[in-house]
Amino acid sequence: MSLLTEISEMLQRGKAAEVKNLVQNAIDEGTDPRVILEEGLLHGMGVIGEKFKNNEVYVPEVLIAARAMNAGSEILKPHLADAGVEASGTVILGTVKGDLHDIGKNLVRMMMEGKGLEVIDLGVDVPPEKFLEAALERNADIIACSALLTTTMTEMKNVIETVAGEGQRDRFRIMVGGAPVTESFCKSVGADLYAPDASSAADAAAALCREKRAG
Amino acid sequence: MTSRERFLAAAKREAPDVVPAAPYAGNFGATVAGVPISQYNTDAGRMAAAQIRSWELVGHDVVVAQSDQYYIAEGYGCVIEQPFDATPHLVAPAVPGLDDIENLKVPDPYRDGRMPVYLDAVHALRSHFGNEVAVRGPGTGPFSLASYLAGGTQQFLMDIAQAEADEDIASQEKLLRLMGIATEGLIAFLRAVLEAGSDVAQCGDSLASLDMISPAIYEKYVFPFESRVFESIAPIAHKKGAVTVLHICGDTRRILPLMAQTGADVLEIDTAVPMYEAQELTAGRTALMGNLDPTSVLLQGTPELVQRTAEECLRSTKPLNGGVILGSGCEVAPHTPVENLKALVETARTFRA
Repeated sequence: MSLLTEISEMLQRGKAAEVKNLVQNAIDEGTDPRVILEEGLLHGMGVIGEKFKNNEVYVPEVLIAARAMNAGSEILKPHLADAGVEASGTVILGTVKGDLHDIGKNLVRMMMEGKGLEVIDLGVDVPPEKFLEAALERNADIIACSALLTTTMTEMKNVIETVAGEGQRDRFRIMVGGAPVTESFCKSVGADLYAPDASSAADAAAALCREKRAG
Repeated sequence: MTSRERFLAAAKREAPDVVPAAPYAGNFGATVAGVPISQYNTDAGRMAAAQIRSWELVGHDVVVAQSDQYYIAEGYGCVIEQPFDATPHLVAPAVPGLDDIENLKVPDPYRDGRMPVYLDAVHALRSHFGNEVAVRGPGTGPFSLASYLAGGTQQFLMDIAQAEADEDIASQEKLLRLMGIATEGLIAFLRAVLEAGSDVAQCGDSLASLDMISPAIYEKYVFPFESRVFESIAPIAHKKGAVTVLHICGDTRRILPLMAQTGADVLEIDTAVPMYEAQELTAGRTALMGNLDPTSVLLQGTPELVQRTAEECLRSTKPLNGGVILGSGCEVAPHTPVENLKALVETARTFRA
């Protein structure tokens, strides 16, 4: 088995220590860090994302795979920076004000990072102004809002109104998601995109960034 | 039949006079009565008063002393933060991780956490309504409860995945032991809630949803413990004329046959599963409650949409033979229009086969 295949497979099984060692070995062997990222880490996370979408793996398995990816990324990051690799898009992500749930939001972050996007994670209980402030500061492509509760999802509307109120609505695409959120809810609050699961959210975000950057 | 008799008949799979209507409307009650949620779930008198107010407006068959998920967990030592008008959240687990679970003590429902608030609210509602309206007490399911105790939910899920991926038997045993500790706490609370006069002893196990875990994890880490809960609680409930309820959120189709074997009298079905399919999958072993969409139908819809969706649901399930209760797939959102819940009740009352 090639080192890169092994990285991908160990990542899929959530073996963080093994992934870390294998990434170091690949660097030591002189493999291009971009190749380690694409064919090792992102490949493994891509497989997990697909399996997650098809209900072959579930949240706990994705969480440990992502932990393994992070372990590998830590080692790889300085080498990628040296090679001048840039993210393919920037996403501002957070759970809306009043909502402290972060597992779903973390999954979205992991899956998006697994697509090579840069994700600025604002955490939980994020007020609307903070979404906008971060998006302006980072010149982001997307603002993504998460909510788990029927009691807090209505807060998404405030995020969109805050962005629009500052005249910035056209500058950012706004995505919404979380257990109680639906396509019709997304439309009713005037968001651009709803994704039913973390993996679809990452696919959609990557596609949006490609479109947006293509013009 | 009174509302209470109607609900209990359907839950026992006997024919009710009309279809019972039981939306899961805890925090809705708080907002409709103008009580901030942080007062509603810390003051039994205000919780009961809010539920009575909400019943006066909507006229449903079952009132619920429900708000959040942490009142039992706090009894173990979990720490929460309580926003003024939103449900609380966990800020610290009872112990840091799996290696510390032997330090967990099963709490006393009459003294620890916010369990006394819920017990007193149930008691007050039972005293107020007598045999007129059914009273549903809460009960955090064992998997959800266990997830709060040792390290918090995300760590708990990762511990399970890692123990399985590494075939680490010692960790798997600790996780099962933790499930056992949570199960004991829930059983103690449910005994008390039945004693307080609840018509329902429930396991609300939102984390056991297939949106989160696989059917294999459900079978190994959840099913045996939900079964243990109902095995010890059902005889006590039945002696009092009460029933047992299991609620798991999301699309449960792949575990519904197992859920029907936990011993619960009623399974509460979320919107993702059509009710007639739930009936097929459970083969008439349990009653079913559900499943109007709390977001697109109840919160955002109109009374006409509620009526249409409710009628579709009822037409597909033969509810007047017993075993079907019209409800919400999950918790009714605060600020849901009262008119929509009234339409739910009205559709149930007037439905003829």
